[in-house]
Amino acid sequence: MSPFFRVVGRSESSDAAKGDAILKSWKNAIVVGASSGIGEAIAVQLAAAGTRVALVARREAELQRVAERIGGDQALVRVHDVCDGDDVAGLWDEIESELGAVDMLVYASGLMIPVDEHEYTFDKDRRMFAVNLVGAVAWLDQAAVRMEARRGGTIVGISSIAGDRGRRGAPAYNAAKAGLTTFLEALRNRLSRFGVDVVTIRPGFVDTAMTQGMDGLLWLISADRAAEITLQHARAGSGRDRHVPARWWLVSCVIRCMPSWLFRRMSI
Amino acid sequence: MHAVLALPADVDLTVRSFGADCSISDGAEWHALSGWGESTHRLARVVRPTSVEELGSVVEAASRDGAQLTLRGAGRSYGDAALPAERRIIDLRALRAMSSLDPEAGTITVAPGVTIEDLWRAVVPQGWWPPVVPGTMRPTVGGCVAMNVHGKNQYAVGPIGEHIEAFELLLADGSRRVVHHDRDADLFRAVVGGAGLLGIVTSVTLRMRRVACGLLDVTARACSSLAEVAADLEARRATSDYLVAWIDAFDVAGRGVVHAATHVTDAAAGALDLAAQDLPDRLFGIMPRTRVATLIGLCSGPHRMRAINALKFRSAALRGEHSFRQAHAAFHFLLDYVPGWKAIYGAGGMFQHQSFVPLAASVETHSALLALCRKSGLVPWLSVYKRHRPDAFLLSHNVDGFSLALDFRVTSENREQLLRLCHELDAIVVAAGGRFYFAKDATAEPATLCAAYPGLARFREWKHDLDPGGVFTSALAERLGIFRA
Repeated sequence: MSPFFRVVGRSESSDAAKGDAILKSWKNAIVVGASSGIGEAIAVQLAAAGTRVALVARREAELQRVAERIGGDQALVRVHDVCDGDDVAGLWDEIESELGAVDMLVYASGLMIPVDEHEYTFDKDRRMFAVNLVGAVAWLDQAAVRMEARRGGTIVGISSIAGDRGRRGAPAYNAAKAGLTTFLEALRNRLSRFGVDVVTIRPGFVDTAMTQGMDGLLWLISADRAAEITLQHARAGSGRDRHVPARWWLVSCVIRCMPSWLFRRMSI
Repeated sequence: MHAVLALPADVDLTVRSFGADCSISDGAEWHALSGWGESTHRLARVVRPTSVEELGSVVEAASRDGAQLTLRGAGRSYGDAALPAERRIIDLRALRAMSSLDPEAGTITVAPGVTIEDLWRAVVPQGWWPPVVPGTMRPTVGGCVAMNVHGKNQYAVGPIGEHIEAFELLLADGSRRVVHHDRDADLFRAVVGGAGLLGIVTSVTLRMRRVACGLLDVTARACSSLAEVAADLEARRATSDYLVAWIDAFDVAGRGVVHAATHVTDAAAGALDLAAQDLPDRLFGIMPRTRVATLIGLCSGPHRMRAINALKFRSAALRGEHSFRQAHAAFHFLLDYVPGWKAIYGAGGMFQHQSFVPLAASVETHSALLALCRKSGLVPWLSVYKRHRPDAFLLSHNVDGFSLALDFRVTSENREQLLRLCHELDAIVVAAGGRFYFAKDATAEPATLCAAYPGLARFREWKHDLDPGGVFTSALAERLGIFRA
């Protein structure tokens, strides 16, 4: 067999390996935004699968509640506001000194502040950028540099279908999530050659505090279900960009292909 | 003794500086750094001072805070010599000032971030060439001094340290002192080759070598065994300015090709202009250099490398002994011909194991190393043989004998086995009274160091005197226990 064919053969066998359920698992994970919603669900499911989890968020009481749900010494609580990006490196060191090397980061913090149809409040928009994008970058940069130096690890970013287009209802939220999606894609392109998987998750509507009080949401799923699908993608052991649930991909394709003048005329 | 340092007109300021205007809280970048072999990695916080004063304040602050610093230049050390022990790296590449060449004495004073490339480009048009250059022109002079690099003429002129007039040393307490090769011989010999562990060399005065023209007469000859290669190198020692041999490690006898070069003494031959020295953009006139890495990526793999090594030998053997003229840069900087040549080793990178063994035992010992590699199934893809002579530096890697450099591909599967093999190779070398080289080493154990470096005790005394707080260290120093008595 010629050497060239062997190269091709190798990539086929690694694809087959994925199918054969050689799934990834992690020793220690940091879940940012673990006090509620998708972050909480991911932390609980990771812990159930044997991963030690550092729970990071602002609200200590909520973190303690999640830690109790997890039980034992599987969880570590660290109070942190993602707006304090400069603290991330020190906090990461602290977590590693307690748990050992962290091989997974999940960034699940998200903030959507309703804005009125005629409202343009910088303070609200800035906070949405700070939590959804700038705070994410602070954590993702640390994860990236440490995992590249270790030549391995998994980074999961919870973005949103909201980043697909700029809509009337949520300019800052849309733009911040679009920024997060693009940042994650760039990290994936940087890090895949070093054995670091970067997984972008774009959930549709998920039943969390963020969607409380919204009626008639399309294809609404529970946070547990969103976490389950997210971890399935992460365990596959390859960098991915996935809509959750998958059928949002089709909607997203149509919406993203729509010309701007047409999109403007539709109130979606 | 120091000429005034000035920035060269064409200085490349693409290396960004960090001054007071930097908005990053403490001015340090976050990097995932690798050794040049791409097989050792560390998380690092990098500061890049743009002046000796700024450098001094970084060092003083570290001394005060009890922090540890690791010096890094172009990052051309294969192993972990330029990787941090703790996390902090001082990148010296922004210190690129250079004096003009003294046309009488042939001396030039340069800052540590000046590269070998900057240096030869500055002096060759005036009819000079650096007396010692490593196999790539990318390293910084600071790095070359720290590693006391040698060229293909080590057997004749010694390492770069023997061509340094003096240097200025910045110590851990922030003080600076001039160290002269003669008047301060003891300290001089500790710092040169001291792997940047005693202080920071902030400027170096080097003696250049006069050349009549920019060309070398090169002779190539195929030899059918390692013994024949050694005998041929030995026979050509008196008449050649540079000697190097490539060895086919896949071959049982250790066959190879010797390259011997002498300076062309005919001034009419010219070639002192930079254009004549520039590496050609295309290999064999057709293959763009930047594409070569992609091509050699296809050659990767033990069987293909065996074939390539055999082909290289056969083509040299078929041509018989032959001579040709080559520009200095083309002869010396083979590694720079192929940007991205390391791609051939794949994502796991490479280890280079280089051992220096005294003459009486050289061929026997190095044959034993090659045999052990073949037996273990981990055959180096590239092997190089050179002649050396001893020198007086405290942590010298040179002996009166030969060195064998072995390039191994590292993969996640073979890494553990390869480490064990390297330790076995080390034991054989140590038993033969051999030495190793900090610029290459990524695998040795502390016991090996103690056995191979008789000057270590004196070096530790210097460390205690000059840097009692242990500010300057590196991943290499920690791994080898250089400071642990």
